Amino acid sequence: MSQESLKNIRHVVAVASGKGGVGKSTVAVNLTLALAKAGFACGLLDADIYGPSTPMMLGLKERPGVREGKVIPLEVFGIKVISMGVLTTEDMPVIWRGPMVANILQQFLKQVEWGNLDFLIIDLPPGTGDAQLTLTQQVSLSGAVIVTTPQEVALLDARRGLKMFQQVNVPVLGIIENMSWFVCDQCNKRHTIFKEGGGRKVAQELDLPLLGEIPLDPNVAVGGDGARPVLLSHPDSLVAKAYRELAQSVQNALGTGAQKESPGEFHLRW
Amino acid sequence: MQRPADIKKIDERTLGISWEDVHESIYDATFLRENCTCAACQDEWTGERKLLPGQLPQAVLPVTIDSVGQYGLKIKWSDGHSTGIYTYEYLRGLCQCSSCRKK
Repeated sequence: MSQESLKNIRHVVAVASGKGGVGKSTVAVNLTLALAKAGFACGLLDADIYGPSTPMMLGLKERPGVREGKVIPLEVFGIKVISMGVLTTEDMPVIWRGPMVANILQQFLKQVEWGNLDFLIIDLPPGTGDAQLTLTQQVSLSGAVIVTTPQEVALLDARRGLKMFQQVNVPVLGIIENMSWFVCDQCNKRHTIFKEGGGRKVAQELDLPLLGEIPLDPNVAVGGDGARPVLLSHPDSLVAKAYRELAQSVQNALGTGAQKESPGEFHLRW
Repeated sequence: MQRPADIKKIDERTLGISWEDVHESIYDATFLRENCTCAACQDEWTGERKLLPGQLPQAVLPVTIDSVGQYGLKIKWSDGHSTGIYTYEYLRGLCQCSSCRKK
């Protein structure tokens, strides 16, 4: 399998969730930016073919250029980005069957000129379907992180996500609990809107580290929809701090033996 | 799950895998081809083999062997077949060395 475009990338990390609506894209965008702020060369591959949301979160309107048959990723806030959303118009639904999804993902991986990167973060679509399978089969992922919210049903799906990665032998670096808590600007007290400690519980059950607990913050929605992610629009907020800590946890998790293991990508001509 | 530390061509007909636990496995090419797990060679639901030993027209050899993600190998064969994924777990179970065959 040809993987030329990816061989200069140190770590490929997938951001996954068992179900939709847990804020996976928001986490992927802000995690990528936090890693970039920490001085790493970072790329973001939005693999949610049917509902790409990173272009809006990052204010991307232009289309990527092509050079020598390779797609040049867009650059914004110091990161490289490619998404189905920059290849189609906003109001145009992508109505494709599985094989087409696999094709476009392979192109995102092989025909995009990513260059030298420390981290390529892949924002996976929710669930355990075609896109996830293609990526885990085509790419030697350094690891995956699973985003969940504190409710029981989301936690149940996090377990499914974990099982999928275990089956294809991708190390799961840990759990990220999103919408974990909320600090009221009136009383300044920390409120756990959903159940408390759900992410911690599932992390313990599945014997995984809890990489971060990201608070709810209205600025996240304002930032996301206003094309300036919260990490940049409100760098002093608690949520921005949580993302910086998350970036550190992800680096630590990758540093402790979860790197690409031998034989990694292997090719033998008989 | 055991992972391979090294994968190599031993001779024209034999693939060798050294595992992380230092076990050495050898596989005859025809044996591997006959044990392909793709849906054309093995029924997806019953597990019944559709490709039976001795049915292959000639001695089939690998053309290329590539990794599939982190969990297996994909072999392109000289008869044009390439749809099977051999997971490391499955390959380890297929090992033809004398001590594994006794189990």
